[in-house]
Amino acid sequence: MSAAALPAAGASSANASRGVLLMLLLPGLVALVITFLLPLIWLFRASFASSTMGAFSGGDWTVQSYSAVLFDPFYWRVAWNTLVLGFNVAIFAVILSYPIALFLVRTESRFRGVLTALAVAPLLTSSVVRTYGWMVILGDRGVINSTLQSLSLTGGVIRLTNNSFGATVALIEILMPYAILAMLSGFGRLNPQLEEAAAMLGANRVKVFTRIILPLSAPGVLTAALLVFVLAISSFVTPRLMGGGRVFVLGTEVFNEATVTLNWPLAAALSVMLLILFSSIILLYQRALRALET
Amino acid sequence: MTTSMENGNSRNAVSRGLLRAGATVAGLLALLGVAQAQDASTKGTVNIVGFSGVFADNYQKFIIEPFKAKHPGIEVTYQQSKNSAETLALLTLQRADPKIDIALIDVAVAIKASKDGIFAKLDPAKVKVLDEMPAWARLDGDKAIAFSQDNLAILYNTDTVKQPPTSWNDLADPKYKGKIAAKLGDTRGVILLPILDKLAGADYKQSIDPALGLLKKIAPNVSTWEPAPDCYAVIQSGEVDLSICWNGRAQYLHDTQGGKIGIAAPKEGSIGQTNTIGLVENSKNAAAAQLFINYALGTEAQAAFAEKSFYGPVNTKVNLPDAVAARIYGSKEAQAAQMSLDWNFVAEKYSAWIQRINREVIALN
Repeated sequence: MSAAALPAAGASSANASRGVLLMLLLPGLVALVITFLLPLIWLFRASFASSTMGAFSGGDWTVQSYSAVLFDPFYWRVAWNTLVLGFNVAIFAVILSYPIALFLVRTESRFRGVLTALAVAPLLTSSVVRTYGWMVILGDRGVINSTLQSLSLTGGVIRLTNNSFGATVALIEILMPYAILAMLSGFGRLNPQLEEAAAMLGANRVKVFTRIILPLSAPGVLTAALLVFVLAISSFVTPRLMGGGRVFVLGTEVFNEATVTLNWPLAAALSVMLLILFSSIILLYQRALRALET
Repeated sequence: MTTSMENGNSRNAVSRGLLRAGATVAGLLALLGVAQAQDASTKGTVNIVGFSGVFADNYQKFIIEPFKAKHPGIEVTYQQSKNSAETLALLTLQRADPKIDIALIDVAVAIKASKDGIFAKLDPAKVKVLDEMPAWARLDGDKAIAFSQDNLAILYNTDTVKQPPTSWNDLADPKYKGKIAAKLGDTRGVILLPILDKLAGADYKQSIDPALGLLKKIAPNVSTWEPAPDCYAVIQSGEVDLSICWNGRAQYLHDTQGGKIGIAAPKEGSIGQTNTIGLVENSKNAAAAQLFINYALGTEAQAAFAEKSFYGPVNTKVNLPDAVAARIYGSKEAQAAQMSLDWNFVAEKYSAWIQRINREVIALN
């Protein structure tokens, strides 16, 4: 369509192009509905089924799974554990990733591309493999414990894994590449000229950092924290393998209810609650982001 | 004269007897022929879904192959499933139009599935071997039949443990502090509770509190409740000294991996993880499938499978060689103390017991 034809065709053409646009969007929308929306609806429906049996045959509606969760202090503790794990992982992953991301954004090295690729390269291996790596490092007979013992620094074995400490450490490392990626894309407003200007006006390096760099990078930091938090509270493999069965979080409970005790409606209800938790966190995040940007 | 007459008579009698015997034999042979012809005339495909890995290999070799040799008209397919929950999901999905005829599935899941109408009642006229099965094995009105029992045992690392444990009580010995792997949030825990109850002189049908009390004494020794990748590998890697796990697979690993895994069958006896076989409701090959079930539960298949997989047989007519029995159940003392559970009762309690283990023992340790 040439530029000259546009005004002449007028409103009907605008409608037609909107139709074309819709048609173009349609395959994607259909795919989204099938792969994303339908399973969610199914999950939601299953959470209201009665839990007499693993198999979900449909039919009845009951809130028994929800009341079983809400009136059971154990699940409140599990939810609390999950949030604590998520916060710890998000905070440490962001703190550790921030300097890396900042360096990658500002470096003028010709190896910048390679370095960036290296920083996110761990994503190329399965998190299960990396979890096993951490089990080797933190295990009772692992690298750290055997080093400490051969140096006679500790009397016995220090329990570094099979508890929430191990799960937190492994999750921080596993999720750091996501934090770095999120910050790299969120640091677009950082501008070296602003820092030079601040320096010329007499700000020292600390002041430049706290008054210029930090506020400008805040949206990226917030996005990274949110991403890591969401991935951490929905994680299942790492808490299960590193936690030695002692770390009870929503992800592991959903797995247990679905595959061990075969209470699928309860597993579905727990998943819906995890989703509600996600949505409220994302809402809070958007509020915070808007506050930062205005 | 008389003698010759007698002789003649007796000779006649002998030959008549021989004739009669011959006729009987011929008749029997003919009958057998008919029976075989009937068996052979059953055609079709039997589709089985069951456990994966070594189990599948052994099942294929020692049950399916001999069955096919006897029934050339019947094709048998075996689909591997990761676990019983996955099998149940598959059967549930296919409920309207089952592609599977026979499911091999863990007993607790089988009872749940059966109550939900997944399995059909077996016909005692077609599965004659049902007579040879003990009452506890015929579950939910012959809808699922127990066919093997894999005992819970204490595995140990033969390099680090020079004096193998002999009793379940040894698990609480302080010398194993931080040296035990115990995945108990599943069937393993559900089986260990009745065993510990017996040690405490209690009955699992009354209360599992005594068992949980004992388990709390074992808990400080436990390094991991979630051994990874599994309860056998952590022994082989030397990560722990003891592991509470299944006998059959451990015996196999003992034989194939240089004997690093030792198996201790505690003297107080044990209980087997029980696997069941069931005919899927609305199976399109029900006749052939029941023929297969009849074979799989028979003494020949049961004995062969027990010898190769170290899973205890269920058919009461099976006599195991002493050496095999010792590797399945342990010493004579342990064999005498072997228990079986009322699975209909235990299936009801299954999730509640796991929940109590998780909350009262694991979450606090």
